[in-house]
Amino acid sequence: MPFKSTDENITGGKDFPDLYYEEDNLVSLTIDRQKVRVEKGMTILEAARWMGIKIPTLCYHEGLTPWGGCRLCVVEVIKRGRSKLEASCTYPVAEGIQVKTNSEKVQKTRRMIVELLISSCPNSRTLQDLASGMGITEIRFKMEDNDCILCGLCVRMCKEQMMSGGIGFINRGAKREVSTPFHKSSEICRGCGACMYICPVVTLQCRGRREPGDLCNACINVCPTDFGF
Amino acid sequence: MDIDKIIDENKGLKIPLIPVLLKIQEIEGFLSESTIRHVSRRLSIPLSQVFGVATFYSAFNLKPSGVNKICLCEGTACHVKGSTRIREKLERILGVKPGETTKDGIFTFTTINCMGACAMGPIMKIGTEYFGKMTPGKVDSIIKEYISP
Amino acid sequence: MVKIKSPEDLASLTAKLQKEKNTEEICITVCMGPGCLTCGSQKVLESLKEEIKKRDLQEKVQIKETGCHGFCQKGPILLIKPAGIFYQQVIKRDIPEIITETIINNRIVERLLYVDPILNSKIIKEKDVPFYKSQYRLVFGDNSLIDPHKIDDYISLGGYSALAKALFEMTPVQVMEEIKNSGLRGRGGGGFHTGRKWESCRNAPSPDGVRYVICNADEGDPGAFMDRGLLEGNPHRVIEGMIIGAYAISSNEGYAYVRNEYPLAVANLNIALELAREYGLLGKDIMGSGFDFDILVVQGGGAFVCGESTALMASIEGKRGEPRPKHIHTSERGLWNKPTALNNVETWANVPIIIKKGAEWFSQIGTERSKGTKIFSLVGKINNTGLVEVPMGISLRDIVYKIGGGIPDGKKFKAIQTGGPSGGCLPEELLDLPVDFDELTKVGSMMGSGGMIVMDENTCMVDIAKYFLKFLRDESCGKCVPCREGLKRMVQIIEDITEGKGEPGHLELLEELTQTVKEASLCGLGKTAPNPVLSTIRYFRDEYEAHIMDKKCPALVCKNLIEYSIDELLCTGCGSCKRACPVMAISGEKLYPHTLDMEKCIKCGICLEKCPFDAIKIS
Ligand SMILES: Cc1cc2nc3c(=O)[nH]c(=O)nc-3n(C[C@H](O)[C@H](O)[C@H](O)COP(=O)(O)O)c2cc1C
Ligand code: SF4
Ligand code: SF4
Ligand code: FES
Repeated sequence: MPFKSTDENITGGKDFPDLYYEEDNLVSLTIDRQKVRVEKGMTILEAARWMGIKIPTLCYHEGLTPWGGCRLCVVEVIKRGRSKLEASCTYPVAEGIQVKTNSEKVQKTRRMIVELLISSCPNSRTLQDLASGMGITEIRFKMEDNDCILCGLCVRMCKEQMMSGGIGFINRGAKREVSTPFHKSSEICRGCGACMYICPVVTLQCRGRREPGDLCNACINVCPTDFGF
Repeated sequence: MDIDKIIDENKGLKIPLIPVLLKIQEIEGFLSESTIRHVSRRLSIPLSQVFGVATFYSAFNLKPSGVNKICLCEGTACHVKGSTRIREKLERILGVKPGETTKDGIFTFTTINCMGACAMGPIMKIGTEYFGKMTPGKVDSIIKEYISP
Repeated sequence: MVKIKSPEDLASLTAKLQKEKNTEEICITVCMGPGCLTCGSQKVLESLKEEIKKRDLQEKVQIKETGCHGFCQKGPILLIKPAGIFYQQVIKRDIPEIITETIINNRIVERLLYVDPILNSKIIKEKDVPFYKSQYRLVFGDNSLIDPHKIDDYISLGGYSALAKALFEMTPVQVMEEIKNSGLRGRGGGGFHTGRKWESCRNAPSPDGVRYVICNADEGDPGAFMDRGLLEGNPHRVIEGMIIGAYAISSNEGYAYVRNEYPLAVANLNIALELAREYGLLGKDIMGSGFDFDILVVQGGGAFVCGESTALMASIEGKRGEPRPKHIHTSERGLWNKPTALNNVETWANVPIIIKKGAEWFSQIGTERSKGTKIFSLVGKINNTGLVEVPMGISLRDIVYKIGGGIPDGKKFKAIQTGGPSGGCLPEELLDLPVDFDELTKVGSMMGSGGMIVMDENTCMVDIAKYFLKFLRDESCGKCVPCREGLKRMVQIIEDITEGKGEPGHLELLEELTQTVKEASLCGLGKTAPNPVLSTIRYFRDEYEAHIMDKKCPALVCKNLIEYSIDELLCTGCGSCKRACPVMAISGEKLYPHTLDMEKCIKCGICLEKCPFDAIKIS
């Protein structure tokens, strides 16, 4: 029977090649119906990206400790028959789990997260692009005009890569912000600009023509192939 | 200085920061900028971390508080029994929102999530004195007692 | 104090204390729990001491200050033993009479007795009061027998004998198995099997052998105070449980994380720890067994999220109390990345009982999958407010009506809220549901740590949902987007609804949003935050619709949807309301019906309270 419509057939029935060959250090799992064996200690995100599967992220960066705050990278993890949404950037691969990186539930959740973020921070090009790519055409919440999505990249960049610690999170809940102590310029800040470099809001301001505070959606027509998710 | 003594006493702990801040606040009533800077230096903890901790927990005040601390319980039990209207009344006659101090420095108005005495709700506390089964109408006379010397 | 160096030492001390205890001697017990303290039990105690001294009765009468007895509604409470006479709502002025009548002349002061609201009869003994009669006070019962500052009180009741049994007659694995077999589930909210948690903690690798035990006394649930009652009233039981737990998982270091708002609990716990150390029940070489263990009390900083296990650990480590992903359980990698057994106060307090009486005995109490008893703080619109302990499996109806005595002022019951901000509101139809971890979860609420808030017809369910959402928005740590942004938006939507700006699509948007917050949030706070909204939409949808469609608040709570007016027929023109109104919205001549200007009215409700003739109406 050449075209059995089983799970294997859809992906060609072939397992993905192993990442490393140190046998006792491998974990096997299934990501989007493909069996794969990867090194223990990797996260699902790393494994998926290595396989070429795209998972959008905001608060993740290769050079920094994973934080798991934005929840954009959620995937469905099925473990012992129970399915749960988990942040792939922090979830370590585990023997026998099944992962769905793009199921309907995942997409729906990601769309809601982007909608939530963009309604409070509409000037970010990164967010506008994500919104276009996901086909979000309407924001149902009251528009605000903040300029930080609290992804914490700058805080970790400053501490982990620049070995400083000039900025940090202050307050909690809806009042949380990134700031220097006492909102004054920090004594230990060297002005290296790494925080600005890594920020998904400040560096990439959306340039599309639009009223401030709206969804842009301009790029949808400009660059139709560029959106992977 | 007292602060140094507290720091020295607690330096041996594995976890000195929060206990030290709590104790300093107990003595000084609030955490001033210079205190926080001093603690950061003495404990060798980055200032951004100390400041982050001091702003995270609601137990810490970064501003000096008034002579009398009015504390209204807004726990579920008190809410069900009508603490919202008491809060509105207090806001109106004091002219401040929760967490603020009146201009004359007589009152600091705060709310709390539960005093653990739900049976007597709604509960208000001024200093160490409790006022149970509060109503908006009772507020005026209670406050008046604290204004006149 | 002599050190206790062996189980025999403990046994002989217990025997000695029991013998010394003169059962004939009169003992007046004064409840110094939080409820009674707010109604002035401190003054009662002082005048009691004075009076006894004045009449030179010190030899004959003993006074005992105890923690909370549970019946806070009727505080301050006095209990006179050995007769077991129960006096309620005692004030300072009553004391001389009590001494003359009851202590000296052996007569009862009728006026201070509890009156059964249904039978209208006076009840003399504590054990006959209906509030206590339907309870099963396994963990909480000793509170009225113990002065928390005296370790001897606890030991004379057989305290620390479970510890002796565990240390000398059982191996750590046996202790763990015993707890596992008892079916004890965590009382902190999630209902996780305690024995299984200990097992995974015990088996988790720790290269340097360091493991921790933690007692979670953060009790952030607004409207709940059972952990406080236990910790302030009977700290040794919690300490004993922790030592046994530490022995089972082989840990030498324990922490008790106590909520910032409970300074008395911190103080009592510290005193209790010091006394236990002096007796050699804590510290190095406990009871001569060679096992070392000590406990440090850590005071919290006032943040609800610090009740969550990983946030609590971050807080102990001196950091901001932000949760971290729990893909690896804290029992394997917790405090300072070491295996950690974290349990709630009440869970720890159950441990000595199980060890003493055996798993089999314990597992006979309760239901199939929920064993033992649970303490609830029964508050809100209910006649008998206070702390109640019931066996699992009892119906909610029994708690509300048999123990709680029903709803005051003849009002109608509307809903019962369990599980605090993470739980849900259940309607009248579900009152026959048994108290059981799984049953409550099934209907969209949860057992939670034990808050139980009763609501009557004058409570607006949308307002309650708004209350919890606002609470959670302010208490969320703000780390992850669904919780921080999602809750902010949910509050905005529900505020619109209560302000009469609700639109038809709002409910659906709210439901969609709750789905994301529930599934995508990082920690338990966000994952359970939608429960109050979901459960109120599920059971009280018509009330939401009334707010959105008809712009009406059926319970007459939401300010923007109600109006005050004066009933001309009832108004006598006394002018009380006019004088009280802060914005002078009421006018009228003396002795003639007054009128209320809706334009000026700020709906503060003071006129309603002041009017002696009930002439102010809300619609
Ligand atoms: C937001 C949040 C708040 C919590 N608050 C408390 C609390 O106040 N007290 C408590 O014992 N457990 C609380 N918990 C549950 C703890 O995380 C933990 O599950 C529990 O202490 C474990 O002990 P147990 O197994 O004895 O229940 C909370 C959980 C969450 C998610
Ligand atoms: S400033 Fe930029 S990098 Fe820093 S947390 Fe905000 S959005 Fe992220
Ligand atoms: S769910 Fe809420 S409390 Fe928990 S990590 Fe996220 S923002 Fe913080
Ligand atoms: S990228 Fe994983 S949570 Fe942000």
